Amino acid sequence: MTNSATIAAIATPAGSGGIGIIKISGKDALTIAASVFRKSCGRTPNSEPRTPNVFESHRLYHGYVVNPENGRVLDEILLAVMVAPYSYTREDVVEIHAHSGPAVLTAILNLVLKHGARLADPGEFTKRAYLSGRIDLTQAEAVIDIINAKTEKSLDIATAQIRGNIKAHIESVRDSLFHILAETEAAIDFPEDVEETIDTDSAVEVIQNQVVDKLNKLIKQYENAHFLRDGLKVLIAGRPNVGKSSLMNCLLRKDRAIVTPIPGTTRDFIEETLNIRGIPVTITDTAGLHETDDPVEILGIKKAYEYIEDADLILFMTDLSQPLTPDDHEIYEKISHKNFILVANKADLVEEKFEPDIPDAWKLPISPELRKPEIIKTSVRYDRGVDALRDLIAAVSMGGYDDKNTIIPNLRHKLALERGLQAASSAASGIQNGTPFELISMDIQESLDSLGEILGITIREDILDQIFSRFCIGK
Amino acid sequence: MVFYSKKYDVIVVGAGHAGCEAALASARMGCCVLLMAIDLDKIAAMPCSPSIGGMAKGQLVKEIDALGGEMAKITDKTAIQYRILNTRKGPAVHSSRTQNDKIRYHIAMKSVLERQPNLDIKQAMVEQLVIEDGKIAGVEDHTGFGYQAQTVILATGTFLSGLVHIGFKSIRAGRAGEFASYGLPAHLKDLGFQLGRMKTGTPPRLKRSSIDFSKFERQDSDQEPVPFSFFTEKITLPQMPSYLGHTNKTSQKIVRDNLERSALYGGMITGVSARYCPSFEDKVVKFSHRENHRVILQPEGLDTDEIYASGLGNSLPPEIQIQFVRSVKGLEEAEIMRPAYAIEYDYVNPIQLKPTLETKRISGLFMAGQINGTSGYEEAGAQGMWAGINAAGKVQERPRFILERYQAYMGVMTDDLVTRGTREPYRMFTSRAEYRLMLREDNADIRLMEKGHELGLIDDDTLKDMKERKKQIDSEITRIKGTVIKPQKAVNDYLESHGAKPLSHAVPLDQLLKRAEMDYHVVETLAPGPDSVHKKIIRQVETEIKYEGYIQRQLREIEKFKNLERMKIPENFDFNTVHGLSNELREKLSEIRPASLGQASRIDGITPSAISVLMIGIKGLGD
Repeated sequence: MTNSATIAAIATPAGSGGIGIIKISGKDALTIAASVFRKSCGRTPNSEPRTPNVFESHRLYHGYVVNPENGRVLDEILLAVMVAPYSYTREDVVEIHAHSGPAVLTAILNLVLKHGARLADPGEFTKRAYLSGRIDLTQAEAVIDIINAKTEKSLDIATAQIRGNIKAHIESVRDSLFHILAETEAAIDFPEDVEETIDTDSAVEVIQNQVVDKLNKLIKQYENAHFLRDGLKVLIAGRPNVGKSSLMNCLLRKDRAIVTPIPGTTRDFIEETLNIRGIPVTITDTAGLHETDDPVEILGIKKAYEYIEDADLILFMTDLSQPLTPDDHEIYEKISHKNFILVANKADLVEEKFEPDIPDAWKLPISPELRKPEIIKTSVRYDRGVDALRDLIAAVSMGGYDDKNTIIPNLRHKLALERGLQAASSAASGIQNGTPFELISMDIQESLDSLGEILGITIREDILDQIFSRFCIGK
Repeated sequence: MVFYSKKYDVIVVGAGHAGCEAALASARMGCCVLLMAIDLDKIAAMPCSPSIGGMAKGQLVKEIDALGGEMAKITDKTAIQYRILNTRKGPAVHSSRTQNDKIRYHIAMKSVLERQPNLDIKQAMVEQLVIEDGKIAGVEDHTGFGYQAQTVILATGTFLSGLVHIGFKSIRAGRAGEFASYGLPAHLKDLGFQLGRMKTGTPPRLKRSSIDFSKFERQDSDQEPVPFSFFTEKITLPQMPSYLGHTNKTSQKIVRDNLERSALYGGMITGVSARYCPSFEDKVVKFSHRENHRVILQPEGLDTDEIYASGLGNSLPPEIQIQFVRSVKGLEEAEIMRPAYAIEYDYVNPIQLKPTLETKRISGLFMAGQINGTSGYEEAGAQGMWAGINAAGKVQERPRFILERYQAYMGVMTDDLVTRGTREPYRMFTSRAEYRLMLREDNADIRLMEKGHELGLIDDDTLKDMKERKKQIDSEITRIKGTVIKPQKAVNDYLESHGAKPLSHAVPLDQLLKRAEMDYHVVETLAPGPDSVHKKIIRQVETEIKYEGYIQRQLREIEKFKNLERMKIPENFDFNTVHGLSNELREKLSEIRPASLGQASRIDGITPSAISVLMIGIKGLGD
């Protein structure tokens, strides 16, 4: 069996569990592992990458997954190496045993894909195991059922997740591409029947507006909504003593953080994973953010701002019993570009009807559909308003609270969208630079093929149908 | 039945463009061949356009030539106009086209056939096939006389149940004025073949002296005609122009007012016609917003006054045809010598064929050309060659001859036909070839001559010449890539004078050549080769360098293609035993019987998971 591609996937079920495994199989498995793995050197990663041939088969290596581009450590891991043919697929196989947070696993998988692996199809490892003679036909037939079932299931999930909309979007993008392809192909195959050139400006405009922009939007939606699959990273931010640690404790329903009325005591960040309305949420409590001269505190605050950049959602806490302070405004400036929910705490200290003086920009857009409040008033001390907050966190993670038609592609979709986007952009610049049509056609066709994968189209549509219906061809 | 005493290896039925190439290929491979035709004065006739080549068809002709076929050589001997189409686009989609003297074409081909050793030519109409134990054994003609052979190639063109229509008048004919064959199609049906019906047509022929050419735009032959054949040194015949004109509102109105009197719209025709070659009735109906359509007047030969009026094809009665033709500016006085007509004929849906063009039903029976639902002389010639080689190969127990989709347009066409079948007359287009950049006219020799040589159709010297050219191309490419151009004044002056950006730092010469506004001239100017590079290879060197990135991409796609293609499906494989396939796909696969997973993947409706499942099914059987 000659299979050139090296494949990778998360091999453990989604959700929580102590360890998550990313499996890589194929001729480049060791090379890929070598480029993202750093052996431990004391308690830190060794700075030197390993060469693929130093891995011994059937050994476990302790170390780190490091993004070689920026040196960032993704996780501390165990690396299991199985050299062909002594593996499940009889190819070189590498397993990365990581901590099982979905975000961590996805990040590692993405890194592996970036270094040359292709995302495995459902059942592909087992299929390879069968084709290499590793398992017998009875087992293989079970695999077929898995392949079929998984395809159906993923279709189900896809349908449910996207409410049928991604299909319509992709189809409309493909229609636009197909329209242009028909023009270039007609100009090539029927130089005497149709205009030999196409309208460059309008073709480029169509690609930009109908293809590039739309694909970018879909990719962005993936990026915005990745926490639906990978879990949501939530950060609690606010000036000291507004009740951040209490909120954290309340959400966790346990006393983990030290809760004290003296400002600035939470200096080390506390990170916990919890399940809010079925969504895995990693919640981080930060140091109180305020003007200070204390070098230790400054360090903590600086770190908190870094965390803000990483977070998917920020719970911006203020104190309802006090007017907004310059620190509150300062924090708003730092987080205004992120998804955030304003949590006005200490509601027990004010009248029930009390309307705080809060700038409109700080409030959530009101969605009549979801009847979500503009701000969340809580009394963490008495566990009031925290349930409403849970609902809102869940709503935000489902892709927003202002657009019920938000489309959320999955990773497989996103990879295909990116390939489609790149090819379409290349076609557009080709048209602008006067690249010959037969090359532009290749780019458009590649874009069509990539997007076709999302819809499960494998055979190219007959471009001739399109040509003959649009152009009068013939002697 | 009485049989002729001589026993043949291959019998070819029909002496059109498919039949001629088939007979020549088999005979040249050493087989004893009989070529049978209803009328020997119609060998290699051009019943429609007097023209060879055109988009994608030009590539087919070059491929026939590189394999050692005849079409390109005869074309060069008889061409009276040469044009290369699409010169403003890239070299992969440049296609050659000629106008030919059709009588000379017929005579030239007939004389090549007559001089070919191992080849008998006989005038006879084949009515029946002789079959023994499910294998072909020979043919029987209309007189009841039999001929024995190990293989038979049917290349019967439009003659199976041929029916010519002019208005409401229908005449049984294979072409205007020729006998059609009604016995053979009935016999094929009895044998269990599924036949379909197609329609094509041809425009009227006009008398040259009755045309006012001043109302037309003259189109001359290319200044420096490039021969079709790799073997042609010189073009000998004088060159003649074509003339371009247009129909108008009046033409449109005449046809629209008389639509129901045409065979096509009067309900006379059931066959499916080609969308790329519409009758004028179709143009009026389907593109009613267009007021004028092109008319091209093409000479039918040096010694005849007949002019082929391309674009005026119709199935109207004669009196309307006259009005219609005369509505065109410059044709007011035109005399029609032969009226336009439509013709319907039977074809055998080609999914009933193996990739070798042998029928699945009867061992040793091959089909080529229009009988397989194609149209065009070039498509026919290519299939004839393919079937001829495979029939001879079967007799001589050679491995089957298949060109893959990435090797030749021929491969694309046969794969399309046997995998997907066709409902309308199938014509070659470049858009059908996914690896179009590789399948160029200019590299047909490099792609295929070695294969032609292996078959014994290309001689040693020709192969040596090709290899020499290939070596020159490779070394020139290496030289260009290894030459560094520094940003000197002379260099930048040259670049600027050619509308290109000057250099700021040294670059390899191939980088300069890759620029859109540059061609080989930049090499000749800035770094000419040690000895002058042969003119013939300049174009290829330029193409290989300019296309490089895209060619690499196609090569990667080809590797993927090969992976699935390598996984063969056994000939007797029972698709019903495959666990996990839908019934619909099982039926489809059982009917088409793909020879490889690759071919299976190109069948309509096949999904990636079906291919996975099939892969497992095949592997299970193999172990």
